[in-house]
Amino acid sequence: MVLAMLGVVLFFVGIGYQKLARRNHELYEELTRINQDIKNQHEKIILDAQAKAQQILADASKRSQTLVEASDIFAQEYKTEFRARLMQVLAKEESEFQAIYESVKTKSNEVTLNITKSIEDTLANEMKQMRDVMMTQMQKGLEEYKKSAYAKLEEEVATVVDLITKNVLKKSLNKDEHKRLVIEALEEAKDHNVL
Amino acid sequence: MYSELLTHIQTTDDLHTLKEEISVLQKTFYEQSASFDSVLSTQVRKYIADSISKELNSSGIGNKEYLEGLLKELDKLSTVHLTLSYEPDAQSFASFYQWFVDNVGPAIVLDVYTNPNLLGGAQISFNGKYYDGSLITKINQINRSRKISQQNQQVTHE
Repeated sequence: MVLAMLGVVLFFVGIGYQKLARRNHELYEELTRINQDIKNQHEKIILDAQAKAQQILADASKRSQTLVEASDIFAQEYKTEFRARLMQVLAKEESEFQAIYESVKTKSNEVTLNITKSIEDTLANEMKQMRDVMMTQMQKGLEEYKKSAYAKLEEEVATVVDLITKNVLKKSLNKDEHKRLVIEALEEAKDHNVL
Repeated sequence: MYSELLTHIQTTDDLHTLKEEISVLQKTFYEQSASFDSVLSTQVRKYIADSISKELNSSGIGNKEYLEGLLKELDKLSTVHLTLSYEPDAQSFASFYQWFVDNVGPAIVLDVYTNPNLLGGAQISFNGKYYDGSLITKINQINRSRKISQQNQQVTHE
């Protein structure tokens, strides 16, 4: 009986550990997937922004040149100078864009790292909580098993002692002792106003 | 008048047997086949017959009146039901009966049963009241008290 109870406790402990390991594996896979998603989105945003900015600059340059070429108002030397100025402005814009792009990229990496760390912390915390709950349940189960086993043992010992006592008494009481016990019972009955 | 005879009536068996003997004696009042004296000497236990003869001689009343009076006295006897763990010998039984005479009065008969499971002591039932003074009940009470005490100790520790 006691062994069977211990078996049941160990069975549930085993199941608990299996559950914990499975959850651990699931969380790890989830973390890897989230990291990959973030990385993909981050790269896509950066690439899109870069493409759009380059497109805007190219469009602006093309339109300006078209306007300058088409105008008869500007003399040739003005046109040359205007073009040179325009190129300077574009180079400056491009340089500023590059700086902004680098800054965004750095910030984005920082955010990604923060998100990853936050997720890792959350998962670690969740794992710890699960492990704590498991440990508490295991300790509680073992405590209950111990209590129940002791109670059962005490009960069995008491039953054996009781049986032995009764058997010994049944065999060992002599005639005079029986007589004394009967008279005692009669006296008690009188004290209880039964007689 | 009936005191000597009544000392022989200690159990319900004694009572039933005496009533049967009285019935046989009463038949002689209506049937001519046998006389009262011959039935008394042949169909009634000797010590009972001796007591009846002695009391009839000393009382000076008729046989019929004596037996009617005796039946009324027997009806006044109260029965004590006694369950013992063993079958007592004559000496032990005499001690028990004497205890009842001393403590309850002479107007009782004992109805004794045997139940070895009681281990010792006695269960007593009288006039609708009951007392269990058996050893088995005392042991069980001790065991119950011990168990309750252990449970209380466990609760205190928790």
